Amino acid sequence: MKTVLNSKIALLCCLLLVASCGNAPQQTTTISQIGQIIDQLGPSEPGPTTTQIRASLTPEVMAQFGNAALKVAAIEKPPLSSVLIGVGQNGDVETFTTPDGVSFSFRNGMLVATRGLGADLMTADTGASLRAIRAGQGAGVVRIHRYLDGEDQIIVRSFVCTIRRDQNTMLRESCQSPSFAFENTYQIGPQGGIVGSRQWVSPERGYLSVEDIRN
Amino acid sequence: MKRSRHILMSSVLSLIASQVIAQERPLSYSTYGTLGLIDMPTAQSAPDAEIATTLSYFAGSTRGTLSFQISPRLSGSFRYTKIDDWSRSTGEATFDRSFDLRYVLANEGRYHPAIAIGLQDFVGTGIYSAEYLVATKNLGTDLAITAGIGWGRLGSDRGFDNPFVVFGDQFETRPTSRNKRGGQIESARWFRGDAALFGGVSWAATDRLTLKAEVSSDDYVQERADGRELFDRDTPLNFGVDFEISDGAHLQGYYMHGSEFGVAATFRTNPRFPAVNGGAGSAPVPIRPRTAAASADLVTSDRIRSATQQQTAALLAADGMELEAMRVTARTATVHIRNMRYIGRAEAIGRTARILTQTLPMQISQFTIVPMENGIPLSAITLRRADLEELEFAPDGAWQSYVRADISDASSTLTETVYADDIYPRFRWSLSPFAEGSYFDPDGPVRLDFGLALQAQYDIAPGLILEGRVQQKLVGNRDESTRNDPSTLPRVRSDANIYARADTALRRLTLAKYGRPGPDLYGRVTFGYLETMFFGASAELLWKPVNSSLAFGVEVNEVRQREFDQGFELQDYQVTTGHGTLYYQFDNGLLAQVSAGRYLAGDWGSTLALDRTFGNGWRVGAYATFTDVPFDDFGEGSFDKGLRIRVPLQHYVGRPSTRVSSINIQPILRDGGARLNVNDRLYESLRTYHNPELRRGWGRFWR
Repeated sequence: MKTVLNSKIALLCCLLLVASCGNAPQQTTTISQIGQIIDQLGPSEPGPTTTQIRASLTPEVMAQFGNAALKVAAIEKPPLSSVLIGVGQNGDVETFTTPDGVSFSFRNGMLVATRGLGADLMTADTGASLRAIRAGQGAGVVRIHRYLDGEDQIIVRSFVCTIRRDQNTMLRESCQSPSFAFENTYQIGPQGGIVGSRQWVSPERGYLSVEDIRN
Repeated sequence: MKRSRHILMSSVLSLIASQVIAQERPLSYSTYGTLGLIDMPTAQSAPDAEIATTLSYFAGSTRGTLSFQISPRLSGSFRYTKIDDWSRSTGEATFDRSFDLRYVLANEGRYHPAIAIGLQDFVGTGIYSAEYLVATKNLGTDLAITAGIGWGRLGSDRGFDNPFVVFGDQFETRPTSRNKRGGQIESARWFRGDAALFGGVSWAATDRLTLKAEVSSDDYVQERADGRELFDRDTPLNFGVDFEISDGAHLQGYYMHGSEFGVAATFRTNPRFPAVNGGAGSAPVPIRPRTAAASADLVTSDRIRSATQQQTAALLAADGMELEAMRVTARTATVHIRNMRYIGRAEAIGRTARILTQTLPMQISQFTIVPMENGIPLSAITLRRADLEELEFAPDGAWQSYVRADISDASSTLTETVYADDIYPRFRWSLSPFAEGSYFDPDGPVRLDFGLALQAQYDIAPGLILEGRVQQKLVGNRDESTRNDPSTLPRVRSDANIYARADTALRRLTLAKYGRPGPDLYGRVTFGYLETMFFGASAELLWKPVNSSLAFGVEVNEVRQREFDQGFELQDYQVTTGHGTLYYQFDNGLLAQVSAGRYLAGDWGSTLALDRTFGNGWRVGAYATFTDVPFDDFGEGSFDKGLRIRVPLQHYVGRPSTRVSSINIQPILRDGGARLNVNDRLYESLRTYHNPELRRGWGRFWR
């Protein structure tokens, strides 16, 4: 009797592992999917570095992306790197996406939104910071970030920033709030635009490092 | 310079770190599964909305408790207890259910402690019945000191005359419980009889380790009575250690009353803190803004219209939605969608809007998006294309887009629409594993069945659905129950254990018609094998204006009881049952429902239900039904009541999914106050697509 029961349990476990089948839209998240998701959330095997990605972007590879603008980006937490492909432009905001569906939007080179990272930056009001960067300096500059909380309510975090030139082509933006502090850096190109940067996303994701490959 | 900045940074960070620790005072649950020391309660509150399950064992008493922090100050607990050797004649164990409430009268201040009042086991049979007033003060971040006064069970050791006698002599003695069946609120006993003092300390030795000591005022009179003698109570002193083995999972060990060891495990979760805030679902399609140049494409051409529809359907499908129907005029487009992925309804609307900017010709300047369920339109959200283009990255874009959206009734949106090709008719099926449980039977408190469920649905035409479910049990022990509690009422639910013996069971086979009889009105007629135990016809009409918090519904059912084997045959019992229900959705997520009508056993009465709903799909609630069946005829429990929890899968996996697990805790299944379980009642299908819920979740519009 006991062995019969055991074999039944074994059969059942098999069934649970193969999960469901049918032609109805799959709402079931299978165990393997959950595994993947947990891998994505937790620290995973270090993927290719930005240097490796840049090296792999040969003219032939770049041709495959058509005329899209490209960037190389790395997020701090978890440490992952990817190529970014330009997929849209709305006014002065350009949106780039990774091949696996995480998007980053930049207004004149400053990060104003992420989607698909989790703990995403919903919007960033960077108008005052941009003016200070263009001026080469500024103090008491207000920057406002919006996020979603666990109940899908918008939460607002505001920061006061100081912007100053570090080297000729490098600007630093040091920001503080009662709970957080971060420092963004911007690399200014020959045309006066931002060509590379390291910008803070959220407490959970840390910094995004991003560099233009082709505009 | 660089160095000084680092010092500044690190001091800022350490300040943040100390703030975080200061907020997370050590909180530990007692053997009763409420925040407390070992057996004694404290005046602490858990973080708002925390749900904690505790299983504890000590000297023959096993307690399983579910606690919920209902509001920042109010918490409630349900407990199921087994006490060994209870029957003096047979030595059998007793099983007991109890409910607690605790309210924090004053939060802790700089100098004064937190003060709480509590009722323990206030609607059970009264084994654990006690009341208390307790104060807890934190000293620094690690040490918490508690002192309190208890009545009833908590006034049983070293008791003294009740100080409340100043309010009247009736406080002097505690009346004996006249309530053998349980379930009655015996407020005449509260705070009566002798009182006693209790207290203790808890010390957070490390982030994960908490040490506790207490002086208990519980004499365990009944457990130590002659013939039971479950343990020797040598001292009122108890000692405990709580170790958090991983986030939210605690193991505890106790040394109690100088003679016994005890253990407990607690699992904490909080609906307000999902795995990933906002979820890690993939990015939406970006907006394609209109350009001045491209305005030549003509919408009037059927070929372009059809291509547009197919393109829209493909992009929606990639985002877990289906295009049901579409209508495009010279300047406007109306799009009917089925959302199968997003509990955050605003996200489904927002993604659809962005997709439409990609697919619709430039001269279309206004979109109306209509979410559908069961073939009926639920609400119409109209957005101006220019607003979408302007607000995609606007700092306050979420709220601005809500203000500029028009949210209205959708009853007439289906006129002249073109249905997508493969939507009607359509056949869908699935085969999946299932698990089913029966609980709270003293002969076997937990019984489980596992097996396979074949489910099929045939969408014949919009709103006309043939649906069925067959289950095949593979392994389980729910058929072992042989209980046959006598009932003076028709046995509409108390034979559940006989129904559970069917190996192959037709759970449902129904033909349903859903419709919109008029503006703000929703209708449903369902016919067939409605549920496990009843066959018949069910009709429902619901009034719910899109922007109203209030809704009213009427349901009438004519049903006949099904044969125990859950085949096609029927028994003789037939009844007309139905209710009028008033729904009110508060802006803060609280959902109140009051139903009145006739129940399955022919009894008349009303049901009160209160749920705390969370925008992310969680829901925790309780209900109680009072009918004209006298408490004595109802039997154990006196009236029907229960708890229900809905747990969204996305909370744990961090990806959008509409999958939700329902947990219903109905301590006693009796025949009084029983309702029919029809599938797809109307209110739940539209609640989250209407205000105030749509507004509450609008933060996800641009997610």
